[in-house]
Amino acid sequence: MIWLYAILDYPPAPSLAALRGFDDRPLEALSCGSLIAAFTRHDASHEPRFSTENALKYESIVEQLMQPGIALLPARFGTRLADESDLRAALNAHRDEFVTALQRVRGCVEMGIRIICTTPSQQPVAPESTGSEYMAAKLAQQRQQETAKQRAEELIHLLTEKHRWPRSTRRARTLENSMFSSAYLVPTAQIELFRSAVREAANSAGPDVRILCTGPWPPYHFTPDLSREAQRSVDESV
Amino acid sequence: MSEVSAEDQITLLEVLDRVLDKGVVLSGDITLSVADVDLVFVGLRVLLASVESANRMRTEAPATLREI
Repeated sequence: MIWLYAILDYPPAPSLAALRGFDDRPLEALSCGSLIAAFTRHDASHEPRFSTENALKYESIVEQLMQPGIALLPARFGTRLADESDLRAALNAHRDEFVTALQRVRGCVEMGIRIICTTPSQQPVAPESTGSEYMAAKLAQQRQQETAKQRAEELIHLLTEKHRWPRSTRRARTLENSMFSSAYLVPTAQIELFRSAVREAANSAGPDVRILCTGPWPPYHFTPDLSREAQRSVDESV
Repeated sequence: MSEVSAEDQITLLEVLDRVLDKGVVLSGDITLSVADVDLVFVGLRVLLASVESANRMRTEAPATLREI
């Protein structure tokens, strides 16, 4: 079984074989036209299992491949194919998509933003309230939370519009408990500018909004999805 | 409250949000320290996909990873 880590457009230095994947397996490269797939081989009976430790390990392996001058599309944990033939077929099937994506992410990293609204909506309404007081308090909380959410969305919009950093639409979503998550594609040279912009947005956001900025990350949210091909490859191999 | 630092929690959350395409739920109460100044207590229950997906990934054999 093949575990895919990333698709690159140029072999990193040192060579892939000097890098290690899961179970200390050497990373191998499969060239397919201008695309290079970085992977490890595993016996079907000894494949990596999902765990927090392995998720972090996976991220560190992908980060080893992130090198200046090399465009990289990270695969998701668990992207596995039956053999090299299936991997090659998947690359061929999405060649144009991958080439376009590699051009888009070249020289860029992914930066993450989480916006947390700390409105009083998470505080319980006093239990001794009457029914109408309770409903009024709940409504007020709901309005406060909506206002905070709206402000957070405006901040995200300003960040995108002002600097024209592409924002992932695939995973941009509103989460529970007033948390917002977004991913941006930012030129490496503008990482500090991005952080400054986030800081500026955070300062103007008000006391009930917190903005967390993370990154740089491999551009996970700007990578074409290979999961269907991987699923089909594995299904047909069993 | 978790004994793991807020930074570790957020880092883990961010890593999981990326290396997994879908299917993870983190729950628990954490304290966020922003710029070493503000301490914000947040009841964190970040729903990134379904509870079922997360449970399957935690408990089942590697074959389950096909569903990621």
